[in-house]
This record gives sequence, C-alpha cells and structure tokens, in this order.
Amino acid sequence: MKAMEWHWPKNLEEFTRLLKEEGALIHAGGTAIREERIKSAVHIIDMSCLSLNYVKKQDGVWHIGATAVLNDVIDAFEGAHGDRLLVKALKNTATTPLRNRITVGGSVFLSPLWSNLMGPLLALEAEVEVVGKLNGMYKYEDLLSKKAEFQGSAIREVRFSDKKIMHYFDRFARTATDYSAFTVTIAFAVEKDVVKDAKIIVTGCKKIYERLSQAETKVIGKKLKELTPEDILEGANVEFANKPAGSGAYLAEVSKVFLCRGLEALGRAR
Amino acid sequence: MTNYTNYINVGKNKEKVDALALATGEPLFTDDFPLKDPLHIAFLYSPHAHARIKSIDTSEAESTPDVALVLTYKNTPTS
Amino acid sequence: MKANFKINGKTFEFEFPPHAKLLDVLRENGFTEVKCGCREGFCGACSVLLDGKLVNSCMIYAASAKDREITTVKKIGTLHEPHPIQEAFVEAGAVQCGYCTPGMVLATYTLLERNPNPTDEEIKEALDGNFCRCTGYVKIIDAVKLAAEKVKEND
Repeated sequence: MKAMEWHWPKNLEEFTRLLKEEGALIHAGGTAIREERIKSAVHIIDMSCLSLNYVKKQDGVWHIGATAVLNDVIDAFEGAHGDRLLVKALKNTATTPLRNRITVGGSVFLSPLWSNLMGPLLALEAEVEVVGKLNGMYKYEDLLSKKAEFQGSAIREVRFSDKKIMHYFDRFARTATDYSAFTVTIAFAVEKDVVKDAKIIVTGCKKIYERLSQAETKVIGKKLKELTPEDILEGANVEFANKPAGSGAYLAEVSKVFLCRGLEALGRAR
Repeated sequence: MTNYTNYINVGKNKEKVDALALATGEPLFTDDFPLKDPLHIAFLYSPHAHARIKSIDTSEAESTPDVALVLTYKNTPTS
Repeated sequence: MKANFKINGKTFEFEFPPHAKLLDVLRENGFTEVKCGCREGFCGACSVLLDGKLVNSCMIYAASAKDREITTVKKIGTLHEPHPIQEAFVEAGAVQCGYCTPGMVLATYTLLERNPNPTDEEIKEALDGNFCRCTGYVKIIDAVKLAAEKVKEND
C-alpha cells in the first residue's frame, strides 16, 4: 500500500509546490472526499493552515476564502445585511453540522449538479481566484464549462460585487436534507420599480444550468407590478434527465411552476 | 378527576432509570465496552428446513488453527 | 501517523492510519460517548464540537482535526455533575433509547450559546443534523425549551 502523507502547508508557495506532486489530493476541510479516494492519494494537502477562512467585504466587493465554511458565509451575510440571496440558498443546503465543515472552495470547485450555490453565484456574476497549474481570476461560468482544465489547480477565493438586488431562490427536493433536483434563481436590479437587469437561472438540468435569456429580455424595462409570468416564460423549455426526485418531464413542469412563483413573488415585492 | 395520591406509580411522573446516564454519555451500549482480542462467533445452520440430524462432524473445524471452541448440542448447556 | 488532540481540555497523542475518521479515533481511545450511527453525516449521533462548532465526527478525517479542540458531551456534564441541558432532557421525557441524546445535547448547547431564547423553528433548524428514531422529536423540542429556561435561571 502506498504510504499516505498529510501536509499542512503554511503559505501559498508551499501549497502550490505540493500541488504539483504525483498523487496530490487537496482537502479543504469539507465532506466530499470519500475514504476510497483518500486511500488512493499519496499526498493529502490540507488547506486549514492557509488562513483562507475569511468572509469580508472590501470596497464594495465580497471576498470569500476557499476554506470558509457555509455557516461562516451565512453568519457574515445575516449579520451584515439580513435577507440575502446566498443566505437563502445556503440555509437550504445539507444540515447545520455539515455546513460547519463544507467549504466554499470545495463546493465551488466541485460544483456538482445538485449544488445550491451554482445559481446564486452565476446570478451574482462571481469570479474565482485560482492558484496552481492555472493562476489568476476566472469567471465562475468559465470554471463550470471547463472543469477539467482546472485539475491541478485550487481555488483561493471567490469574489463578487455587493449589488443591491431583488432576488428569489428555491430548490426542489424530496426532503429537507435531500440533494436538490433543481434550483431556480431569479435576480433583478431594480430602479424605481423598473427592472434594469435580470438573471433567471435554472440549475440541475441537462445542460447543468440554463439562463433563460429570452425571459430576461422580456422582463427588462418592465415595472415590477406589470410582470406576467406566463408571457415571460412562454417558449422557455428547460430539459431535465430522469432523477430519483422525478422524471425529466415532471421536473420540467415543476421548474416552470417554481419560475412562475418566483416571478410572482418579485412582482408583488417592493 | 381520579385521585392518584394513594398510588405509587400510576399517575406519577417517573424518571427513566438510565435517562441521565444516557444523556451524559455513560457507556451503556454493547459497543461502548472495550474488548481486548475478542473471540468471533460464526453460526452454521442446517441447510435443510425439515430434517433429522443424524450426525455432526466437527473434526475439521476443531483441528483448524485459531478455532478456540466448537459448540454443538453435545457440549452446549440447555439450562 | 501520530497527532495531538485537545479533548475536553486535556491533550492526547493518538496513533492512527492517515485515512482514519475522527469518530473511530475517538471511540477507539475510550471516548465512547461519541456514538456511531450512520457514518454518512446524517444522523448526528457522532456529533462533537470542533473548536466550539457542532460537527459530525464521522465525516472528519482525524488528521485534519489535529491540534484542534474537541468537546464531547462529557465536557458539557457528567452523571455526577450534569448540565441543566442534560437534566432538561431527562425531565422532559426526551430520552428513550438514548443513542441520539449525546448529539442532541451538544446541538442544544451550541444553539443556546448563540441564541438563549430560540423559537420552535430555530430549535428545529439547529437540531436538523440530529435524528431520533424513538421519540418523534416533540419531547426533544420541549427539552430544549426547558433547557433554555434552566440555563437562564442558572445565570
């Protein structure tokens, strides 16, 4: 059996050097790595000593370190601004003790199909700072479309501007702790009750995520109370694979219901 | 309303005897007790649902190294 | 590999394989108050506090918890010096088989630390990582509310 070694690099130079080793496996502190996977690693690179567990706002930009856990994010945002899109999405993720270990870096790097973070981060136009094989800032959507290219690299930080948005988030799952079958994220930039910008995103579908750009165009320029969900969503057809939570056809129908609910909720909001 | 004052248990709030021990994590479950080098037991059942046992040959099992004991009806107490 | 852990205020050095889970390292070294339920991070029987935060020890590699502070239910209170939370669980009838109870007590402890007057909803959210197959949860929620009162009285 290969000898497994744990490393706790104290700085980024050490970290990126270890990343290049054969059989390197990054452990940010979350719950995604199964025992079989750990056993097959030669070098386990623990990120806990890199001081990346911060959630802070600087000059109107939120910076979330890779090893910040989901509850850290909830606490920081609830304390600062109350109702936030990310808070709603995260509070519906896993359970309290799991959220004390699941890291933002790990969640974003893996971005599994059932991720609750995907929609909100896309709506917030998030960027990721990457170190290792690739270095620098990348749009989150680029990470999603080119995951394979990011192997051998690690996320150092997730960033997005602190915008004032009206938002709606919901997810569909069989039980409170079940994986999301899909999520619906709607974000509006609103000025004097008129929608200036819109993001309508469904995740968990066949294409992983879909932006309903036609619906977004229909919404922009309209007053909130003038929103008519049926017209806005006409022609929108998100396709889903069959999942434990329901058949593809069923999930497509339910996602339309959720989208309607979201648009109605935002239409009524002030 | 029935008067329960003459009863010892009926109508009374009785604390579960081991509740505090359980709430404070005292070792009470089988797996909580450490065993050093325990023996492991395996059961062999009759492969026939309705049959008469004519004989049981334990010689091969008994001569296998690391077998501490083979129990059958012959050497198992019934009371 | 070897590593140090500060458990319930005392430092210990344990030896374990690199892939060992914190739950197993704790139980094999005598901390049997940490229970093994599902090994999947759902039931919460294995709950401990890691640097004061409620976590599922079955989902943590022991190595990644090295040099950290771990609190088990025995630090909260013992048979001879029980914590008001543990007394509340007993009084409210919230203990049946008792397997989930250490985890519930720890979850209640961290909840009341942050929120001394939780609503029913807040209690359910804080204990959403602790499953019980015996009680049906109603008495557990009563126990948490009773514990909140007792803790306030104590202060």
